[in-house]
Amino acid sequence: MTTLLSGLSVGALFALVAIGYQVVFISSGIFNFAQATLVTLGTFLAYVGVVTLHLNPILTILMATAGCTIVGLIEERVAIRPLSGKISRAELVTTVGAAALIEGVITLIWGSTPLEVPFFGSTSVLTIFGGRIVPDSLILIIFVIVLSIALHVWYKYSISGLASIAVAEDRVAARLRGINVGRRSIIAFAMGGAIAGVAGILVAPQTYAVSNLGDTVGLTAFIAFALGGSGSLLGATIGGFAVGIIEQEVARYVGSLYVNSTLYVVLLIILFVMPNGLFGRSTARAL
Amino acid sequence: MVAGMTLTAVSLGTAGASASNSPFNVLMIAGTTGPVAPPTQAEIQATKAAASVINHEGGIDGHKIAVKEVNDNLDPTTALSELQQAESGSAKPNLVFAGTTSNETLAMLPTLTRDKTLSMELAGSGVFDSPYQFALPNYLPNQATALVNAIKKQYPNAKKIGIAITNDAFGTSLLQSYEPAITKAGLTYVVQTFSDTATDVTPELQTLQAANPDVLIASGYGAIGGYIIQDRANLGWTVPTIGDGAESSNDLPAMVPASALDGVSLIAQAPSVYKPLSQESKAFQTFWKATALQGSKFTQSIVLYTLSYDDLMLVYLAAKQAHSTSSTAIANALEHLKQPKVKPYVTWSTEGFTPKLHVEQAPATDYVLASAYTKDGMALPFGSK
Amino acid sequence: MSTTRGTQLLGRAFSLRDGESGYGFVWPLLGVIGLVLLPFIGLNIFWQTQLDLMIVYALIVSGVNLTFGFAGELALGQVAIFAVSAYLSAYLMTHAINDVVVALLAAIVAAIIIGLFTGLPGLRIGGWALAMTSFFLVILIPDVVQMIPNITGGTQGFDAIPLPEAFGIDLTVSEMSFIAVVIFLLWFAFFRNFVLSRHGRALKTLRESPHLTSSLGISVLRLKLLAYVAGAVPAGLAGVLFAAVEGYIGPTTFSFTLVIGMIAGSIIGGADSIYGAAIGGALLEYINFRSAAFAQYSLVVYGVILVLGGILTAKGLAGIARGGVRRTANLLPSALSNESISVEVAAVPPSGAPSRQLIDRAVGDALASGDDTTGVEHHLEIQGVTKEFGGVRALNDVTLSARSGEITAIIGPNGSGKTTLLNVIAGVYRADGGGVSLDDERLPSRSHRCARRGVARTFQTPIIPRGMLAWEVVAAGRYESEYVSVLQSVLRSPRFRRVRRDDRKLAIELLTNLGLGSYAFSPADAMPLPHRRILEVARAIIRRPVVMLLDEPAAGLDEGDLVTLAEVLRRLREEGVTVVIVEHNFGLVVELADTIHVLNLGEVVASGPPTDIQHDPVVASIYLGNESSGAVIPTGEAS
Repeated sequence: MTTLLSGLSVGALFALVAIGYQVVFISSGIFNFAQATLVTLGTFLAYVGVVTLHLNPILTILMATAGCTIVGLIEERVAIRPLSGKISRAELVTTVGAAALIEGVITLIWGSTPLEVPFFGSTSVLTIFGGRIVPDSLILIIFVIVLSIALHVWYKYSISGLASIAVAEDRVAARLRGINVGRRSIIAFAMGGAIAGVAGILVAPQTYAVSNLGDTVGLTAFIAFALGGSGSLLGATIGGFAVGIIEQEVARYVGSLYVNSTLYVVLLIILFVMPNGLFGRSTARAL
Repeated sequence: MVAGMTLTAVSLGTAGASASNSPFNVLMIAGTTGPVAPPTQAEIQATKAAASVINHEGGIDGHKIAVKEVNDNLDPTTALSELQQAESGSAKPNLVFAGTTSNETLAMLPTLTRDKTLSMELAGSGVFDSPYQFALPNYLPNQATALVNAIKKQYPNAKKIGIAITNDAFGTSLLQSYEPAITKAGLTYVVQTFSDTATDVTPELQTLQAANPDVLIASGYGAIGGYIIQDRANLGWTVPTIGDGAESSNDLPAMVPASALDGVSLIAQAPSVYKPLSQESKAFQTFWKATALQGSKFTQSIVLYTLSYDDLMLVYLAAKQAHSTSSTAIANALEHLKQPKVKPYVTWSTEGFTPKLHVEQAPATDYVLASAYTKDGMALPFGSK
Repeated sequence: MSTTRGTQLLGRAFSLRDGESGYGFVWPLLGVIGLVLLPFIGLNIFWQTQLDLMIVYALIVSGVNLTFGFAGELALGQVAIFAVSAYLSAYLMTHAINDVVVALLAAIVAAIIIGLFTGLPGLRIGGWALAMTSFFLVILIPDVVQMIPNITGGTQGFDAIPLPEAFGIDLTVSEMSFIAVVIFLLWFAFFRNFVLSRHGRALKTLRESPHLTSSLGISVLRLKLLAYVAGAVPAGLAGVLFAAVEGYIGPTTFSFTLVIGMIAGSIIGGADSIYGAAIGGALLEYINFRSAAFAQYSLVVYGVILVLGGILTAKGLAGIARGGVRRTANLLPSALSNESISVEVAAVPPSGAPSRQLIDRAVGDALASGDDTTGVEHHLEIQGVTKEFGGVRALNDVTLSARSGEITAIIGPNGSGKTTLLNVIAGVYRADGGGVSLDDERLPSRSHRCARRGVARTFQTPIIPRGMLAWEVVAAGRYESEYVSVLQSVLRSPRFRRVRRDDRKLAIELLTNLGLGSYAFSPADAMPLPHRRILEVARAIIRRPVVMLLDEPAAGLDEGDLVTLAEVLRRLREEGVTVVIVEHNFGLVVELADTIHVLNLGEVVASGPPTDIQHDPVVASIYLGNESSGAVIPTGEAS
């Protein structure tokens, strides 16, 4: 049970990043490699709030959210918008560049030594169904689930969310119907940043604020994204938790050397059976 | 920082005997970015400190030392390219500090050997077969024996040892030295390895816990070092835990809450256990002041500073004894180094290099268990906080 | 030899424009001579190694260009292939045969196997999911290396790899460089000839649309596998050179940074260019190496380079250079910049509505260019076809037939199932019930097999691949009927040359006779919509079809174009082609068709000659009920 819970808590981090990928992908069709680095930035802003400025948790969350949103917007302006209307897939390069740039600046400001960010609540270990988990992990898991459901509902029932889905399905058609595709993209990157920032205070107590966090988490969150299927927020969340659980269970019972290969095989099998992922919509275009 | 220390009392720098000769070029090729940046910076500061002390004494055989550091991003290919560029340039390096990890060292080694360039290894993960390559970081088999001895002394009833260790190049070499040492001592062991980029090692620790070892060796540098200790505490596992050479380079008290450090100690070389500066050796005091002048705040384990400092000091001593700066002469002198009356080095042991073994053999008796709490990069004595 | 001929040859040799046949051969030749000499002009070890590494990167990037740039497949397993090949050759050179030639051959075999393996998911999934699976391979490298430490050296890496021999002769560092240069040149010659052949055009077609590709009778499966293998081989070659030159490989060598470097090199150099791969690869090696020198700023510098590089070179350096070269070429004396191509085009009359005689000639010539099949009667039978999409019945028990020498029209309101029916006939969809047969033989429900039986089609929205000239788009229709193997294409065999001449001649003649002669050498995707429709028709005609399916060919055409289209269809009918047309333009249908079938809600509600249909009350009510804006049967364009 402890392994399962630790799988969920690691999975929450993957799910968080995968939700960020998804939000940006839905509205702009762009895969934002910098999403995991934005989460890293969120942990450092949490460090600034909690340790450096001794702010209360609410102010820290507000500050981290604002900070990451602004950086997300800057990324959109600098690395994405100049590419609009071009079909070269140069965003593969520019979003990675943005990730390197953000990580580079983080390292310049805060260095590479891991920084501890204490959790604002209790740190005594809880026992749930016979498994052990620290409260911050538990809250992160719950937060990610609530976040994904909230976003799912928003996309499904609000005009703004529906407009984003329309853009995802057919940019040209969406434009013809008067949806401002460019503005959707801006909103998407702002939301991606906000999601990364708001969770910083929950992520940091488990991972530390450490500059290269995004490198590995970002790659594993790919798998979560692909498993869940593009276009599905719930898919990203379930994909994230599934990857976390597989990772921890394999490490526990097989060996950590086999974690990545197992994930890869699982991904291949699922994609062969369901090419659009577990919850992805078919994007096949009628002729 | 040591309170009340007066740095201005010692004047170090460029003053002193002026050498008109060409400089003795020291090239440090290492990863100055990424997760290993802080220890690399420590090594650079200490090497520059040694250079300033030696230059103050007139340089190496009359040649002033010029230290240059280049970043290789930890990439073996970049490291080799940097080395080739330096070897092809006008200011050929006389001494190369070859890489942060053994991956970089191995990539550079053939070129270093072919060009007969003297080199010192910072990684300390293995023994390399090259006449011009020396490694000061402690001889791992001895370090392993010391660790096992310390365990037997502190926990006489221990039969089975658990090892939680990263699977990077350094961790792999460490593990390879632990296995024979533990077996030789008549103990058994269980191992769990994991990537140094993991964010959680709970399942690996659970597996170890299920095997029920009497003592746990923890080994990981950087965030992973903290995760091991933190996840152990989260599991409520109270097994006595000893951090090895990799783990002890972390500032654990700054990474985990105090409660997580219950039952955690570190293995340390005797000189790196904290004493007030006034009680340290003369050589240590010179080292300390010179390194502080380089801007160091001693945030890293003191061993990183002292070993790098001693590296250059030994080359200085060897060149002095050989009356030459040729790599062949220095290498030969290093293999037969005579102990001077006034020791310029800090941690160098008496056993020295031999023509067969180019790695320092600090004897196992040099190591002690120490507290997980540190002061100025030095471990506090065992049991203290 | 006459002076004009001489001038033409000279002009061709020095040509700076990249027409179908590429740049003139003089420039690459000069480059070749320079490169071959480079290892021997006394470079120091640093520059020698830099040259080798640039070649290694250029090879990898060229592989990315093939699969990603040309074929549009995000199968980016090149770094994994590079790693396997490097380890394989390190092992061979250390423990078995220390011969670079053996290692290269082994690496090619390994690359092909792994290329197929890593591409395998691409047969089922596409786009980002495929990119993820191939990105993730790079994470597996350190794990696999640790699973077999006795072979790979584990985390410590594989060190002391000796400099190899070649045919038993020890190589110096310079000679190894020379071998690297030779490999580089051979591969790029292969790459160039491959891309500048019908196979390259097929890849570009695949990049645009797999549906289009299979509608031309090309097996998408085979073409994808070809793209994966072709993209894998250079990465395999690069692995051997890397292991031999560096003498050390370790798991940290094959990092995600390398994957990004490879993609950046491809995009910054120009993903769909040949020489851009060399430039991008070389540039990236230097940037990777140089950015480290910025110490603690290296990550920031690297990030800035990627962002700026990506933005400023969205077309790729090659694209920018092409523009520059074109401008320079325009300044050169005409004898030097003149192209052989333009000579051929000189005879082309200006665009405009072509005469009836021209159209007759166009269709007649195109159809007659192969075996003589005119006079043979054909009949297409659609029997009880039913097709459902997620419970919605798009076609319900549709039965109708079409005969050669007739134009059969299918009309109906939006959503009535017209296009679905067309797709069932063309083999895109498999019918849930019933079937389609041609001359009493069932048509396969696989698009490319169906196409090979003589079914040609156009699309509702014309699918015109980007990065191709109009005549190339048309010539792509001949890929399958006049197949030339990869080997023959790359070696420029006599057969290849003959087919290439025919391709060009037939396509240009056809376009000229259809009034699009002046567009023959223009980028096809930039042509106005009506011309793109005609272009699609030309691409279908050049396939000498038995059955011709047209999906709303009149939509968006003006009066003049409509006349051309009608003329073409009539002529096809006269040539004995079975023409099936789905159309909204009622006027056109009434004027042209021999038989009209009216579909509504997936069922045939009326069939008969135009005069009957025009006065059919059922048909009128369908249109009245469907269209809220008008009360007449639409004769113009509908959306």
